[in-house]
Amino acid sequence: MQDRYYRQMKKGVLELVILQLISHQPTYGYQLISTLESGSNGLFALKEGTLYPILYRLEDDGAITSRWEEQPGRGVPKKYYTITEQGRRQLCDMRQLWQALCRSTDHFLGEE
Amino acid sequence: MQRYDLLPPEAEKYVKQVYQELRLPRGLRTRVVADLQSDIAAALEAGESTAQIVARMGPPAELAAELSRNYQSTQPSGRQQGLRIARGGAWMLLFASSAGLLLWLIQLVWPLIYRVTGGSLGFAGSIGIIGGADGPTRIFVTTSVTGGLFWPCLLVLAIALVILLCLNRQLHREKND
Repeated sequence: MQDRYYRQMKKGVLELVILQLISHQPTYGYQLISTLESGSNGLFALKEGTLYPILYRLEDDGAITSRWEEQPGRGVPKKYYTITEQGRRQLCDMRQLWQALCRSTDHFLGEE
Repeated sequence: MQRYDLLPPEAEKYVKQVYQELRLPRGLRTRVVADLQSDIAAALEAGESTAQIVARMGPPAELAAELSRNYQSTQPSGRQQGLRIARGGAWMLLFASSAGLLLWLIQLVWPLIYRVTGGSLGFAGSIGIIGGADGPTRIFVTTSVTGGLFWPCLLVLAIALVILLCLNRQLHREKND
């Protein structure tokens, strides 16, 4: 049962966090997974099966775009995701919503 | 862009297996393959071995199942898709019945146009001949080809409208859930 809450809560914020990371710089899947894992001490231990559908939904909504980029030297080309203008607006809205939710939740938990 | 010559054979085999196990539309499977190739290449560059990568990502069937499951949950439900298709059908019925009513209307006012233009065009169609033993005594029985359209078209139009309104309301309600 504890696992269910954990997954539910994580799922809610994952899209927001991923969009935020993409807004910093164009990035690819592996980089996102590494950054999330190291930056959260393993709390956001994401697998491709969870990450890719989120990326595709963001892309379908027009929040991010993808393109192949050749790597310098003999590197293998990689598929980079970049945030769009619409994506930046969406990110802004999501951040405000997150902050409002946090304040309300903390209020009800009596920690404000 | 799908090039199968970039990764070690075991990695390419893994990607192909995932592709085959995926229960998703083709466009999506292509996207998954592209991302997998890109990410496996990145992992190799970061120093992981192919065996490590494949072990970390898990069995192809499991990865494919997880992808399909997580993707389905981001899409409108099958029921909603069905409702949308039904709505499209209702629109088609609406247009078809409107076209029929329009035809009926035209044939109704045609005698006026006929008289004004003095032409020889008519909406009557010859459907039968009686007493046709010899040419001069032939009698043509005619009827209006489109005259019988009114009631059927009106009925279909009304039904289509009702269906459209119900479906629209249902879809709108579910959108705001």
